Amino acid sequence: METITTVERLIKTYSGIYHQNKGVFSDALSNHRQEAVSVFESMGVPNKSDERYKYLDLTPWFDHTYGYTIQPEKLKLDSEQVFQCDVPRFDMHEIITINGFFHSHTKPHELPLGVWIGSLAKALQEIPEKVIPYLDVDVNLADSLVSLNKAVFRDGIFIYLPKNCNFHSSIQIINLQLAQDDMFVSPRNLIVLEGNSSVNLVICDHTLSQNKFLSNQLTEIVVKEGAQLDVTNMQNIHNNAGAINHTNIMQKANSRVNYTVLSLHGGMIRNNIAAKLDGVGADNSTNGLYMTDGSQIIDFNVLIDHAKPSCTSNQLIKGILDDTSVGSFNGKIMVARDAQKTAAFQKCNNLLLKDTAKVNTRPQLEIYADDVKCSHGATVGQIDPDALFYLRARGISKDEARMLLMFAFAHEIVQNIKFENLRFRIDEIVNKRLRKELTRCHNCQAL
Amino acid sequence: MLHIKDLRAKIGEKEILKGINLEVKAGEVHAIMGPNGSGKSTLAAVLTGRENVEVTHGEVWFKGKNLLELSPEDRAREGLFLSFQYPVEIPGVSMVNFLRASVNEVRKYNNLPALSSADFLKFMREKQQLVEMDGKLTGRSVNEGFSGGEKKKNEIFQMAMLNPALSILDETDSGLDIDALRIVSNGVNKLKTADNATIVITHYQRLLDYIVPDIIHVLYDGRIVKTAGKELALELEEKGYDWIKKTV
Repeated sequence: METITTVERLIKTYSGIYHQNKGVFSDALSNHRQEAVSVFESMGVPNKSDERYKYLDLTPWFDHTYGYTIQPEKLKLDSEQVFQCDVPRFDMHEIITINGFFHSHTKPHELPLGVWIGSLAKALQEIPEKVIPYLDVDVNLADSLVSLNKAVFRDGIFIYLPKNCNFHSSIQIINLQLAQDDMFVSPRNLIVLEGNSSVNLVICDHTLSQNKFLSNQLTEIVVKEGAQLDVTNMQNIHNNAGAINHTNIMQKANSRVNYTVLSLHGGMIRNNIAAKLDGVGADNSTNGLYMTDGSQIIDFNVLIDHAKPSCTSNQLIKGILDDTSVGSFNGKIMVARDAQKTAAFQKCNNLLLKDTAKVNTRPQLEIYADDVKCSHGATVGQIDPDALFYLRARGISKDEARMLLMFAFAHEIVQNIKFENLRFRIDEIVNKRLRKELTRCHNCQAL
Repeated sequence: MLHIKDLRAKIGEKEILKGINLEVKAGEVHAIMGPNGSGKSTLAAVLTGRENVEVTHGEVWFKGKNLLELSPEDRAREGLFLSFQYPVEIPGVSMVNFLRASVNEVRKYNNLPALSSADFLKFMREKQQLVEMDGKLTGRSVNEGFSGGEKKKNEIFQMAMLNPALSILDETDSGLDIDALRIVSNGVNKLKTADNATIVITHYQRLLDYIVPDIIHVLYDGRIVKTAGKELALELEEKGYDWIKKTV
C-alpha cells in the first residue's frame, strides 16, 4: 500500500481545487494560474520550518475536509445582518461579499466616471486592461499561500479610482461567510488608486454560520503618486473560523497609506501585511490591535520595504491577550542601499492578562543605507499595578479600573483613525470586546 | 473619625510599623513628621489598602467601620483620600473620563444619582478654579506630561472633586516651588471644614507654615515617639531629627 505524507496530501487536496476546475479557471489569467499552482505544489502549505510561520501551525487548519464553491451563492440577506455594521452619521458606499464573491451594493448608486467598485471577476471580463497590469504586486515575498490564492480564486472586490478622484464617501466592504457545511474560501481583491486620488475604506469581516471556515484571502493594493488611502479592517469571526489575510501594498512617490487592522475575534487570524515604498516620499502607517481570549491564535507578520529614499513608515501593533490565547508579531523593516533619509519605526506592545496567555515577538531591521532613522521595540507586560491602585484609590472598582487601563492601551491604535465618527464607533466596539460583550452578538454564537 | 490601635505592618519580611496608636477627630489637622525610613509612607499605604504591605497586628476604625476589611475602592468611597507622593501617569485615560468614573462611583456607593455630563462639567470647572488648575490639563491624560507642581495640584483638585472626610497628604510639598506650595496649601485650607479631617505627612516644617496643624506627631522607627502642639515643628526644624533619636 502506498503511503502519503500529510504534506503531500495537503498539496494534492488544495492544488486539486485548481486541477478539478480547470474549465472554470480558463480565463484571462489562465497562464498565471498555472504558474501559481506549480509554485504552490513545489512549496506546499507553510509549516513551522518556514521562518515566517515559525509560531503558527497551519496544518490542523488545512488538514480538514472543506467544501469549495466555484459559483456565487444566490442568497437574499437579512438586512439586519448587514446594517449592524452601519456607522452613524457616516457617509458610506456599502458593498457586500459572500464567501468571497461580490454580492451587491446595498443602496442604489451612481459612480463617478471611470470609478469601478464591484466584482473582480466581472472587471476581468469587462475591463481587463484596467485590472491585469496591476495584479501581482511584487513585495519580495515568497508565500505559497499567495500562490494558492492566485491559482484558485474566483472573485473578490475590485476598486479602481482614476487620477485625481477624491471619492465622495467612504467605501465599506462587508465580507460575510455563510454556509451549510465547512468551507474553504479564497477571495482575491484588487484596489487601485491612480495618481492623487483618495478614499477611505472600511472592511468588516464576519462569519454568519457556525460551521468551520478557512479563508485564504489575497488583497493587492496599488497606490500611485500622491494618492491617499485609509483602511480600517475589523476582523470579527467565530472561534471555529480561521483567516489568513495577505495584504500586499505597492506605494509610489508621495503616496500615503494608513492601514489599521483590528482583530477583534477569531479562532485563528493570520495577517500578512507587506508594503513596498517604491517612490520618494511615500508614507506608510500600519497599525494593528488584537484582543484574544480562550484559545484564540493571532499572528501578525509585517514587512515594510523601503526601496526608495525619503520614505517614512510607522508600525504600531498592540495586543491584549487573555486565557490561553497566543499572539505573535513578526515585523521587519528593510531599507535598501539607496534609500537614504529613511525614517522607519516599529513598536509592538502586549498586555498579558493571565500567566497562561502567550506572545511571541520578533522585531527585525535589515538596513543597507547609512543615513537613516530607524527604531524598533517590543514589550510584553501586565497591567501596571501602580496605575491600577491609583484608580482604585479614587473609588473606581478593580474591574472598572482594569477596563479603563486596557481601553487606554488599545486607544493608542484607535486614535490613528482619521474619521471621528468611525473612531467613536470603533472605540465603542473595542470597549464592548474588552468587556467580552461582543461574544453575545448573534454572529458569534459558535463559542 | 479615625482610630488606629497598636498597628503593626511589614513589607516582605521587614517590620516597618511597630505599634502605631493614633486618633483623629473631625475638624482636626494632624501632622506626621519624621526622618526618612521612619514609616510615614507605609502608614499611608496601610490606610489606603496597598497590597504590598501586610498588616500583622492591630486595628483601624474609620467612621465606625473596620477599615482593614475594606477594598481600596471602598475606602475611597467611604471618604478616605490619599494625595499621592508620586502621582501615577496614566497615558490614554483622559482626566475627564477618570474623574467622571471616580465621582460617579463614589456617588453610587453613597446612593446618590450619577451626575449628568453637563452637571459634571460644571462641577469640575468650579473645583478647578478652587485649586487654580489650568483648564488645559483636564483635557489631557491623567498626569501625563504634568510637571511636579501640576501633579500635586491635580491631587488637590481630585480631593476637591471627591470631598473626602479624611485626607492624607503624603509629602505633598516634595518637588514644589514656593508658588505651587502656596496654591496647593490654599486649596487644602479652602476645603477644610468642621466635619472633615486632614493628616499631613511631611519631612519638613515648611509645609506647616501654610497648613497649620492642631497636633504634630513624630514617627521614628515605626512608632509615634512624640506628640505635641504646632510648636513642635519649630523645635524640630531647629534641633533636627537627631534630637528625637537621642531622646528615645
